[in-house]
Amino acid sequence: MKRLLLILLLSLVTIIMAGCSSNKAVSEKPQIYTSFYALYDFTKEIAGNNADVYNIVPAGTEPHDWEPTVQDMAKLNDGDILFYNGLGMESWIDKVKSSLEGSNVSFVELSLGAAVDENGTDPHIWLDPNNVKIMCKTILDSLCEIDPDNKTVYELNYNNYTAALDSLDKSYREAISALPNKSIVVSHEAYSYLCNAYGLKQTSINGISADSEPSPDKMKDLINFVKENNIKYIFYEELVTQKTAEILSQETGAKLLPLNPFEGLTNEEMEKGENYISIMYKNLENIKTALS
Amino acid sequence: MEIFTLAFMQRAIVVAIFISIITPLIGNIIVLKRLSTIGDALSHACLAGVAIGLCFSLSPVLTAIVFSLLSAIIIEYIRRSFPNYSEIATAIVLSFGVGVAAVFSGFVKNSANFNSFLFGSIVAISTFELITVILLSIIVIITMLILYRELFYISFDEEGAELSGVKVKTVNLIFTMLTAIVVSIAARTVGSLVISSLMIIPVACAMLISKSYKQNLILSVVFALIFTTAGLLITAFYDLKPGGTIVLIGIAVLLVTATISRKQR
Repeated sequence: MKRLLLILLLSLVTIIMAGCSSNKAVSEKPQIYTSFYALYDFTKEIAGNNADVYNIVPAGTEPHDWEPTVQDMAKLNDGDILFYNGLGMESWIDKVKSSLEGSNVSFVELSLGAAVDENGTDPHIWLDPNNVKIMCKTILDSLCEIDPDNKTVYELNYNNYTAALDSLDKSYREAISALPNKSIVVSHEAYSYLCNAYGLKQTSINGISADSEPSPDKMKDLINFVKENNIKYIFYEELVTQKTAEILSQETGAKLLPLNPFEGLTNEEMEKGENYISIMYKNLENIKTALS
Repeated sequence: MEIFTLAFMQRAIVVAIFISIITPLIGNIIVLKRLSTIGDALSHACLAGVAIGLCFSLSPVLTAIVFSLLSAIIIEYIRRSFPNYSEIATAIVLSFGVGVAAVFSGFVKNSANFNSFLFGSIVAISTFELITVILLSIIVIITMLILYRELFYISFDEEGAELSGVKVKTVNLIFTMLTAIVVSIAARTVGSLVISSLMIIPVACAMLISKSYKQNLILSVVFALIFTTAGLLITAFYDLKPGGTIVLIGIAVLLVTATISRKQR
């Protein structure tokens, strides 16, 4: 009994002592955190090397469900800003916010100010490049406020990035208006902003939740829909299971193509240096393949 | 060591201490009543409660507690129909909770919203939740002290208790409702994994070495305190998920305790 407690105590002390030696480097730059990869990408474009930007939800994780570690909380506590999307994208945000009351970090909700669908249930507002411009403006304002010395650099980066977003928007507008079909079948209902911006129409297999199952009745309707509308491709997401999309593809003979809602990236995509703009161009290529 | 000066960490430690006192206290009786999986069953009932709440635009926090209470009463009822197979009751209610949640979640428009009512983490606790946990703990501790003899008797011999004049039904009902409230509130605060494992693992550890009921109660609380504080300390220095780490420490201690206590026999 006593020996047991002694062993437990000793092993605990050893583990903690080993952990203590790790020290963190202190940086003078603004410490900016983002809630998932898309926001990290936007913030990085505007901050450049003048701020340390960290993404707290790892790139390959669904940002809806994630649990912070003690280290995450400690880092946020010492941070300057946390940019988050809102609209239910981060289910943990309220609790993290209220548990960090009194610390210096300010929470900035990027969906505020963006063109948000009134009774909308879709949080994926960044799939419309025009919304990204508004989100980036909020990021710019927040950065200038805490780091006015680098205001000109941030503004320059912002102008460059919005120019890239404008040409992305233009490519989408031109390409999609030339397509004969406008109807896409997607695995989960994440593309309402993309569709509204460019006149596409989405039909989803799983509804708004990425991981629920469709009823047999819904499957029957989908199979008929794909056949009647002569749909040749079904879109799936890399971070979510593709099972129902595969079944639908087998039943109807339609092929599968990826469409990335840019919530996160796979490690492979990260290594290739993919970003919002490059992924959106890829999405456009796939939409063109599917609808022409 | 500066991490312990941060407010969120201090709240985490205070909540860990209170949860480590009350969950094993309840857990001891749960184990003796052969209802070890009640924590899982009731937290799935909360899931169903959230789904129903969102469906009918009621407060999901409230419907979760109500549904959890209801499920606890159902467990108590089924348990009496199968006196020798108590575990049937928790398994049925668990399936019931998952089933209700699955069907009703089909009508919930915003699933992202769904998660936010179930999200709980020991490192993300607000001041309001801190106060709730402390109040809840005081209620649990007082009730357990008042009903100490009755619960002790019922856990070992329900019929005998009834014959000697203990109000078995009333005591069982009070205890069941207390369990439901603890699970539904604590699951949202620290996460359902932590709560359902702290009900059982410390009790199991204590059972390996204790010599009496009272000693078992005290030892299980000591074990729970070791798991949660060690879990928080370790995750403060290594980047690990707090909930999972606490559970794994518990399992590791259980294995070590089992090996040592077997050798000594």
